[in-house]
Amino acid sequence: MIEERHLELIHAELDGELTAEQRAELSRLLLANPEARAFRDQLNRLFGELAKLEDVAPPSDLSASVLGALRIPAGPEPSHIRGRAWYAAPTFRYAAVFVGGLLASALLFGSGARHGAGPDVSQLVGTIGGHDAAGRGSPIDRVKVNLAQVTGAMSSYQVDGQLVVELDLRANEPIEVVATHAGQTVHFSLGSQPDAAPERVLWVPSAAADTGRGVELELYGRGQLLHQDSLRALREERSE
Amino acid sequence: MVEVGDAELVRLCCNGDRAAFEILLRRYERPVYNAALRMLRNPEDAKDVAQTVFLKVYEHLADYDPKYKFYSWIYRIAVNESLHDLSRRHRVEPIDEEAPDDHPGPDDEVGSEQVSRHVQGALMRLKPEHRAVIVLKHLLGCSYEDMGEILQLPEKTVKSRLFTARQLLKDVLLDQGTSRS
Repeated sequence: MIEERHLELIHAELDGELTAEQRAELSRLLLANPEARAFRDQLNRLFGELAKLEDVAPPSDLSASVLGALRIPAGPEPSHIRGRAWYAAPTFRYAAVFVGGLLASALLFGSGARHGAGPDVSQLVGTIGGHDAAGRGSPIDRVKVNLAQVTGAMSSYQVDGQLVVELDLRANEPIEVVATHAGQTVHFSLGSQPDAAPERVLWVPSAAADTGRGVELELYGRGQLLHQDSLRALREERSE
Repeated sequence: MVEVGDAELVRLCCNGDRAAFEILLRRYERPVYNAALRMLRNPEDAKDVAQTVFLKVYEHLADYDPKYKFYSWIYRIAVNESLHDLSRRHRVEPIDEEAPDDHPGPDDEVGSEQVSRHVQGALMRLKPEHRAVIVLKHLLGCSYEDMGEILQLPEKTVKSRLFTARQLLKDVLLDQGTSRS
């Protein structure tokens, strides 16, 4: 019969949770007690069996379905959704994805009419007031903007293999930014408030970064194209 | 590549930055889905639970206390949702149940080794609270401390439950003839 404390030591050893002192105690125990050694061997085999449970890739549409459900509230994105998540019910989730698609189509039609641009407005965007880019790492590419109407920088990053476009701009008058990557287009409006603080906008295109395609950026003020630029989408491209 | 920390991403999310939420989603969809899959076995149920987990995370991000690890918080939601799903569907299969295990599981779907199916089958014969500690330790690699945080139990209780779960699992596997001890 193995003492309870000794069983605990054996489990803790295989779990990697032993202190040096406990390890020494266990070593002495294992040398002296064949029953403890047999138990440890059995437990080790169980760990081996459990290691055979493979990590399964999640369904490819899992992220999209979550994001589709979260995109339901129309208009400006709330800083937080409070209260019971009525959309969590499967029926609502599927309806939500459908309605989201309709909204995206409507936005798409509008953007095409204004700028003759593009196809899809189905990505996540966010606007924040702060200026803390710490932790995002060095940008893949960055362009500075220094116009009378708008100043700042536009950058591309890779975070967890995902392309992230950051606009860090201060606009003195209403400015519209049109960003396009791999057939996806989004619009951002800046400078709607007089003396507005610098605004940071993050955009995560839903498509993977594509070596052949950078991010095209157009800045419009009073309906006129003020500035046109592009950002690289992959770091490797910088070495050319 | 520098990885943005969970706490920073949560802060950005709370400021309305949905891009940050998408990064969190991509970072955690795999472990959350796998935890649910091993708890429930059925891939469709696991997907539903994973969806609910992320919707709840988004809904309650402002309630997240940064003094705790973010993964502990999200795993707690995943375990609770899985347990809730099991109780709702009355699919609890207690260990003393002798019914043959012919339910198609995740490894049937992906064509993995037969032994993995046996282990999953054995897991399904544990009570859900025992299955949960096995999933947290062996699939998600949580420490005793993490598990205590996730299950909101004292570390001593976590260890006792884990050791019991292993013993039961070992017995089931021996019964199935999978474990060659």
